Amino acid sequence: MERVIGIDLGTTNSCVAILEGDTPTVISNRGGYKTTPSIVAVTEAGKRLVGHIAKRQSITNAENTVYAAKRLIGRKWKSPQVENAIMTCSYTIVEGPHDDVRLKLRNKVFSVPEVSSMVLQEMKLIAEDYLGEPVKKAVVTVPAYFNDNQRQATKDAGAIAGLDVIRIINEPTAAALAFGYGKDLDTTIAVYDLGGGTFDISILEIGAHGVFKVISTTGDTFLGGEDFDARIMDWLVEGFKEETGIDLRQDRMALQRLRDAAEKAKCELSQMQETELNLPFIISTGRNEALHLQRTLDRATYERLVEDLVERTVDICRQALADAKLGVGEVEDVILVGGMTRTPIIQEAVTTFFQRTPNRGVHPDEVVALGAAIQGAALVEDRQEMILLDVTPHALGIMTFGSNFEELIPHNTTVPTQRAKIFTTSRDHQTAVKIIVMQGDSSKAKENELLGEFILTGLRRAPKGEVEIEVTFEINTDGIVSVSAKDLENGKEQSIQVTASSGLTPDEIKHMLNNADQYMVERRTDEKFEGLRQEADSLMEQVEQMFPEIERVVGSADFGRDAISKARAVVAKTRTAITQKDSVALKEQVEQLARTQRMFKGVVARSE
Amino acid sequence: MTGNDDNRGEGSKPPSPTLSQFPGVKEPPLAHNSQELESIDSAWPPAVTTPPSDAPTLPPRAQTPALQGNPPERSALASTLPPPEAVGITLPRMVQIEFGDGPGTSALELADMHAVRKPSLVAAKPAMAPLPDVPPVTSVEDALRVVKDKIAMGDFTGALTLASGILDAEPEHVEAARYARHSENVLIQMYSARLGALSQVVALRVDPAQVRWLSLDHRAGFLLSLIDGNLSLEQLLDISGMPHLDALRILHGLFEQQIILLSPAS
Repeated sequence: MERVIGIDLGTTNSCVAILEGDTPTVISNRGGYKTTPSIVAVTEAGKRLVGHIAKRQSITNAENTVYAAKRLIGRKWKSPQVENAIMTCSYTIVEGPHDDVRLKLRNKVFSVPEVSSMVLQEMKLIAEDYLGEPVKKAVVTVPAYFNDNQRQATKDAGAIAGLDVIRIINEPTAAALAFGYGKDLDTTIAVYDLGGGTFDISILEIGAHGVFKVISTTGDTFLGGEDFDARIMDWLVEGFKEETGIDLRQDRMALQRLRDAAEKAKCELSQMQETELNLPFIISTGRNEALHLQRTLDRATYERLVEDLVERTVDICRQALADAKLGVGEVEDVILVGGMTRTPIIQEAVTTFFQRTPNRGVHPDEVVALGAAIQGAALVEDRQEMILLDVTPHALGIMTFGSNFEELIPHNTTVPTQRAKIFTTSRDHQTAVKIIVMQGDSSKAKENELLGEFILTGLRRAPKGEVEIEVTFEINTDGIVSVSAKDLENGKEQSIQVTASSGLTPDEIKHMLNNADQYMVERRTDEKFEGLRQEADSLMEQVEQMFPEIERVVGSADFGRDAISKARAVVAKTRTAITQKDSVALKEQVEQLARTQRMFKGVVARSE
Repeated sequence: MTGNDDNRGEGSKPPSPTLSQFPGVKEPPLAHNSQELESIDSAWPPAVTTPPSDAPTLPPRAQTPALQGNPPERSALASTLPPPEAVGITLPRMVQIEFGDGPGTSALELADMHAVRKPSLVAAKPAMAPLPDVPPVTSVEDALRVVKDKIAMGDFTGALTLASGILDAEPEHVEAARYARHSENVLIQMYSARLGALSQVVALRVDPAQVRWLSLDHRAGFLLSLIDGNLSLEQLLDISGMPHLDALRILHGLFEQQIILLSPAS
């Protein structure tokens, strides 16, 4: 049966998992890490970097390093989130051709799904390396509050990466799925997810027969582990400034080191009471004088630095419970998701707020990807016992007179669903109405997202309020929204199927897919060449080391001179092949080198 | 103020920048630079009188040939380096290679592209008498002539510094840009050759706790902070955020001082 991978495409880190037998398993990347930073960079030489290596140059090459692309995926150019990102991001954000967002790296423009596809492609490669076979299908997770355009953009990113995204599921649902896997639960849980860049809290019901239902979800897309790192960085920078008068913020190399050290210290303080930050040669003050930074940070100080951030998460939890119309006592389990939840002060805050110790049975970094893998396997194996009930992340409705938003399907409504409402005309003798379909939670239409519009004509000329029109919204299991408007007098009907758009046309997606394929071919070729080059290096070294011995053995015989000069020619040709990056020639030369080495070894052995 | 003073602005060309405005040039210029040249890249004999118009098209760094799996000891290097033609450099056969700064030089000095013009580097050397037949250098043209001389003498570091100085004053100067690019490419090739295959994995040779007692600058310190025992030379160059030549120069210095260790990728 075809393997389906589960991918947690995170704002700051991503994770990939599969179901092996009945056991969901996270796959480590080549560096041995189970999560990979969702960071993409382009170097000065035009090389693409993804993951840890991209993260390690994210400050020194800030203009060409994209982080937190997830905050921009599927967004409209004029959205407040994009405006905010333009102000705060170090990379260049430009307007796309379809009111979408594009990112400029080294004078090349990429769409956001294209950048996310690079991370997804990396996750696909990790899985393929592990499984030893191509992977084509995936279940990808997204935050529960993602709208349809954002979900579609995530699907497009998967398509560009060469993945058929067979289902998009909500992150808290995935976490709950992993938590409830193999158990017969009937409970209400809270999923507290504090990642690197975002915070989400969701309240879910897990039904008696494996039914998972998100009953409320809320969060802060600009609150995460990076804010905690920043507090440590500020503390270090201020301390250094007090001591030396030097502002380390002015030096990118220093900042990169501070950021790495702050993150490391934060992690260490989850285990230890204090940690030492030691950054030798952090900055030069002049010739032959470099200063060191050395400070000790204890847990109490760290907790004082971040306590307001922790309190913000608690306030949001309070809101989530209010949305769910539940009391704290009705939540029976709390699942912690995201590496940040290992922090003792966060665990204490969660324990205090929910009046119970958080569940320690799931791995915070892996649980979402594991849930996605479980769902992927259930889909291909058609295991009906694991029914996922997702909800609408935002309300759906239409714009009415006065630019108001009239809600038909409230947010957190379980899908599939169908709702209808009757409206009337707003002007005398009105013969047509425009149905403007929107998604969002504001009562003001302009603050919500436009999904589509259509016109119903042929209404009877009558005083306002007399003609009745029934508007019906329907969302199917795939999340496709259909809206119809029917004149109840004459039965005339118009409808629209709202297709989510990522901001990319099918042609653009195809073109990007071709580019991604081409990149993979080049990458595989480079890896193959690199392997050959290393083999050639080793063989050349061995052959050259044998020259003196061969010369000694064969003396002045013509045969010997000929053999040595031929061997030198092979070495020279090998170097030329390496210089010219000629894989075919290099392969041939490696074979020749291997033959030469064997022959030389034989000559030496016979002489002994 | 006289009327003559007022006439200066209109119609008159601004004076060309003098050579002393360019990094790497001191007064008396040639005598000093000749001495530097002797001490820096003299082992690369004068092979290129001027770079041909297509000369700067040396292979990009990514195509740098892997020369040795593990760089040999300094004394053995000359015999194991590839012929210059193999790395795209048209040079006569070399006998011995000196990369300017000796093993005892700190990475701080190695890291500084302009270090070669700093008095501290050349102070210990006896100054040569000014060459009587060399006209004084006062213009961009003169500076370019010195650049050509430096390239011809194999002082690519000096040539690069001076050409960069010209570009600071005249960013669009095509010839200076070509010489700068050529010199930079040759230097990259030289340092790459000394370090060996870029696929080699870089590790610390000294105890991390002892690093602070070394004589380094913050850029060397930064590169050291990136070394985790997993990254290759090529990856380090990619993430250094520095121009490749600077990073290579620093890494070469760290290698020469036995602060870092290079080993073949597994």
